[in-house]
Amino acid sequence: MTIGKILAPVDGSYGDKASIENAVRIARIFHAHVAVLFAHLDPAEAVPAIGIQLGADVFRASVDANMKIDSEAWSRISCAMDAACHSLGATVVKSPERCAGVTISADEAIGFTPHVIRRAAILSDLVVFRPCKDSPQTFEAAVDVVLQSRRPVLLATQVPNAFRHIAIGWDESTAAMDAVWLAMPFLERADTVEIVCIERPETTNFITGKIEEFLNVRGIAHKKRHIRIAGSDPARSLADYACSQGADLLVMGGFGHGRIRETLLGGMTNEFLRNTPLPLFIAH
Amino acid sequence: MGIAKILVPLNGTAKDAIALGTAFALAKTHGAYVDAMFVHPDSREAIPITDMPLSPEIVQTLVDAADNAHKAASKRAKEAFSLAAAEWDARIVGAPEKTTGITAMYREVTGHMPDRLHDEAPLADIVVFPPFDADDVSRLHPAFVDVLTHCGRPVLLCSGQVPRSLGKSVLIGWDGRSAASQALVAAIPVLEKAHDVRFARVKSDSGADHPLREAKEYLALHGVDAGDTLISTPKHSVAEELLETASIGGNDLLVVGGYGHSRLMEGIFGGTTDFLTSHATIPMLMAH
Repeated sequence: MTIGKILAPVDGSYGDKASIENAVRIARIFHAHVAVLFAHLDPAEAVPAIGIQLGADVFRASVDANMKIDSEAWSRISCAMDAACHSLGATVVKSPERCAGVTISADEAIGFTPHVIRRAAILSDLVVFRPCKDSPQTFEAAVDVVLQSRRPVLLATQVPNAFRHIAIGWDESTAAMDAVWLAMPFLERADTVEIVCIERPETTNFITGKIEEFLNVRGIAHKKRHIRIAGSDPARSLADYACSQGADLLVMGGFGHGRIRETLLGGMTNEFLRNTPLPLFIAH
Repeated sequence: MGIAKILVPLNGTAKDAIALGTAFALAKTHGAYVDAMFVHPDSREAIPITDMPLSPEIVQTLVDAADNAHKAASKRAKEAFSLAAAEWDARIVGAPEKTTGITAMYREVTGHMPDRLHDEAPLADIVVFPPFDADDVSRLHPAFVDVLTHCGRPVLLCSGQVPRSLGKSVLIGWDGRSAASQALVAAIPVLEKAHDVRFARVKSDSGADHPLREAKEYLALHGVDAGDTLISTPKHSVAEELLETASIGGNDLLVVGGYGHSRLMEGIFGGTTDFLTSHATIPMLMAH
């Protein structure tokens, strides 16, 4: 794959500025386009459901309030885009187009947020998320649906200008294999690639050791480390280890989605997704 | 990153030559490594399950006969590989490595075709299948369906002959649904190297998710400019229209979503994918 289009979902919160900056930083590495997507509910539907019939004027006031919030969010997003362009050298364009430098466009999509994001993700190469403290369930649902449609997610609070040292969390699963396959554009550009083999008692998968052959045929030099994961949060242990080794990015399989993701041994908890110690590249 | 590793399952029939020729044609454009894998069924499977116990001599005879048949098949497969590698100037290597030019390796594994391919496909960027036989003794068709729907890798289904060119003039069947989008994204490494790319717009009965405009925009972001043509009122089925359009247009590759409608629907109404796979007149790149 090549990275030509990066989807950056935003939700009108104050974290959008950082989300957009992250997406532009990554776009610079690949000379890609950033498609910012402001996904929100229809103002007429985002009226609080309190179990009693609302009077027409109360309903109207609620819808107006929602529209005002959306409109303010939209102008914040616009400012954030201009700021990112100014500091990082991108150009705002009306609709996605390819130029010499990095371009960025914005679109608004009204509907149930995870569905809207999923639809846009299918014709994108990468979706960049920033952990969202305001509405964590929406954020987790969005990550899950993107992973289900087999698009990779890059989850980070902040990103560096280049990903020089990449760690791969390897547990011989097909999810990890798919993550490495999709992460190729990042791996090609790294100075150091480290395979961190996670030893678990019950894995007996065919692709033991094949990850090295996979990287060799694609010309990616790499080191290999084995670590034993103790404790109940394997994903966190892996991420902490990668961080301690100075990695800028951790590539890992998504281990299922939703409740399956949380309950499966090795699954990433919602807690972990909200608080990653380093940027994660996840696929499923 | 384009296509680095192409997996080609072989079964010792005449169709191996077509699969290998197609794989090497693709490898040439991308400087890829071709992994030609002959799948050797376990000879003990030749032992029939019967009510009456068979004598050890009969069992041995059956196993030996199966063994000989497999040896003959693998010999044919290996010959087909050597011929194709020589024709395409491929360097035969002992282990996969990245170089310029085409490299290739022949190997034999034992097991069931669908299982072996299920394990191997995730290591490749694309899997090339020969056109299917009516009897399909080696079970390539189930393997094809499994790789397409469960392994997340695109497949390249060959036509009835080795192509003269592959991926220079590409037709993309587009109905705006999910499988078509997956095929489009999967085909990017091929589309980026094509001389001309054209969409064949197909009307979809149930709501299309993605209008053509978005598909073209996505391609443009990868530096690919595509034209389009509309298949408005299909005289025949969608599949026939696509193949006809490709034939008239002189295209050498068709990109299309595979099993975009549910398997049940395809089973009842005679699906597009099944028609395409049994009437392949042009190589087809599919994803799901």
